[in-house]
Amino acid sequence: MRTETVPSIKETVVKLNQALCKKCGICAVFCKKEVLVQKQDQKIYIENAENCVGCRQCVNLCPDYAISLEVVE
Amino acid sequence: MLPEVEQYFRIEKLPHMWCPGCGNGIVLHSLINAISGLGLDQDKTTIVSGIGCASRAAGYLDFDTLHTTHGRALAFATGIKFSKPELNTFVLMGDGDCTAIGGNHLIHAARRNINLTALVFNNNIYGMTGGQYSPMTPNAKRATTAFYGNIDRSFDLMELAKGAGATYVARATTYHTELLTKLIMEAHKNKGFSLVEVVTACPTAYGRYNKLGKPADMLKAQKENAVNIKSLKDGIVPEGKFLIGELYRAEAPEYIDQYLQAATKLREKGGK
Amino acid sequence: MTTPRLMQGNEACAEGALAAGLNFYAGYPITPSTEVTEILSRKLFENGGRFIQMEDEIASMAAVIGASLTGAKAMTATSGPGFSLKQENIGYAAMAEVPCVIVNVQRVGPSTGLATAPAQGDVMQARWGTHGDHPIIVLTPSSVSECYQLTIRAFNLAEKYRVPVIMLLDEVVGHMRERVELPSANQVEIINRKQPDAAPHQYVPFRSGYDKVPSMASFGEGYRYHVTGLVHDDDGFATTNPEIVQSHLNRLQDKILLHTPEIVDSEQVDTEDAEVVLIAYGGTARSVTRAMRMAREEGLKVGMFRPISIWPFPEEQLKLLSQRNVKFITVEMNFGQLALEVERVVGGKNAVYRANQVNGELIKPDTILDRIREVY
Repeated sequence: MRTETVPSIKETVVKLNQALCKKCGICAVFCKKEVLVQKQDQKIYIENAENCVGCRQCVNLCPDYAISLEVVE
Repeated sequence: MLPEVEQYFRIEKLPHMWCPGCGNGIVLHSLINAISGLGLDQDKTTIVSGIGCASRAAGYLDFDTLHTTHGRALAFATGIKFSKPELNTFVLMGDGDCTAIGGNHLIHAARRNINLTALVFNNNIYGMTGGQYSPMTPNAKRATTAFYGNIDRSFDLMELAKGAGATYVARATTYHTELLTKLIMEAHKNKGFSLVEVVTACPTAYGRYNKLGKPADMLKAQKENAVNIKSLKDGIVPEGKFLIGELYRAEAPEYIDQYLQAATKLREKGGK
Repeated sequence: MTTPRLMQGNEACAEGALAAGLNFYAGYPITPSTEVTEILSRKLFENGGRFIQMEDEIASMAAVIGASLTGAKAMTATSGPGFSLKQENIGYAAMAEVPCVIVNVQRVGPSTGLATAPAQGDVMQARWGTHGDHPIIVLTPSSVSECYQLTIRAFNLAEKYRVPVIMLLDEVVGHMRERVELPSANQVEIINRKQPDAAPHQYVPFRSGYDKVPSMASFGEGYRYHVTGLVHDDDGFATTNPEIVQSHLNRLQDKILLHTPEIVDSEQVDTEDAEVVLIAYGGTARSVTRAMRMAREEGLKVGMFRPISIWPFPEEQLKLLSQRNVKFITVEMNFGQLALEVERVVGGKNAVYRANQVNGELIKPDTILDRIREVY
């Protein structure tokens, strides 16, 4: 499936590649809409994905390139 | 993985070796965004790095990449750039790599104003070797070789580079990723020696020894303590804060241009 | 051949480098090698090449390697103290298999020693100066024309085997002037590094065939490969896998062992009927030549075995010689360094003596003659 960077705020869906994620917790702390949540097991979970406003903080601050934003046509 | 940057990575080498929450991965992301934004020819771009955590970055990037000896990246890069000026050359170094053992090569590359872009991953410590203090470790901070607090004063890397002759000096943090990308692009466009210092977090060593919290806490501290030079009203940096943005620009002849122009003029004049 | 000229040894190194295709030089002033740097700072500037005076010898060695990776033929020249500083990066060139030439004009050491006085105390440093087992080639001229010829050979060997090659002179050979007849440009054989035959995306930078020497792409040609000082696999990426580490380091050794017969070089003078064979190289070989003539006039059957490549040491040639019942005297301006190799190779079959002097002067023929008389 071709993915595309978000030019402006559209319907967006956060994708998390668990294989790359090192559970540093940065994305969960900086996600204003709590779409990304770190749980007891330190793993990052995507919850209430519809709240995502495409601000890209998670993409920018992820040290492991584990997060990408997909535009829903 | 973001499609627009994927082409610049050696994907098969990921995940990278840096610790969870280490800022180096964020810096790399901005560097790639800058190279992509500049539209540089991937075959004509060279990444040179020294030794240390930051210097492992070269291996992950899909360019001609040279992982050199500790402190000497700028000297290797001088050989590359001077021999083949058309190669876009980025020199990635840690703070110890660049300002301790590499200090002599830093000031002379700046003095020559040779067209190189130096990116210094400043995590205030020697990470690879387990957390010793570096010339960029603030006074009184702790490290494995400063158990009772660092006696040394640290460099002001910006003033050092400026004083040595660099013609573009800037700083950003791993929180200010888009600013960092822009600064790297401007640094590359500057025809001369450009230095971009990036304040980045080392949660495993520096963060732990100085009780700076989790990776996200260290990023927050960067956000709170950084003051963009453009927003500075009276020119005074508040206590405990540091400046980010384009801190210094100057015009000066570029080393290789000088050499080639003079050599060409000599040959036109009939040599000896 | 060109018209005969009076030329200095250091100048002949510079001219030889230019004849070999030198187009990048990085250096730092240090007696007694500075003339090489001075001459090339002008000549390269005039002929479109690149000259840079770096901030120290470490940086010079680094710049040379960087330039070579872009396809340049690169060289630096130095003396003892600078040679010591360059060692780490010479090791890098050996590990990353980057062709380059380092001229070391020896002076009395250790430390500052005697800057303007000849010695041969860096022989072991030339072989073992950098840490870890590593391939290296060391050539040593004893005349001005040999400075020229061997510098060309140094470049050709560096390119052919992708290895740092050291030209080991001493102050006498470097500073003396002598009549030379240099070959014209078209008479000079030039060897260039093997270019990759694979397309960029199929290029395996450190894979080699039977000759153990990988082809070498230049930076900026789309091969986009990785070079590191870490032990690496054929792809050029760091590895700690024991088998790959052993095979990689084996190949670096084999690269020289396999080709030693082609690399090794030595000269023999009057050894056919000699009862005492003097082993000498560099400036010392000149005094020995005079001493031999004086000894022959006294009816003493004396010959000389002169290593031209010190590393690899001309072992087979010396073994052959030692099959006859000859005595050896190793004559050196040090406290006995190449003598250790001689004694190892001869292995007790023949009597092996030494003649050593480190006083800042070339060993005089009379001194050598006295030693011959003692040993004969």
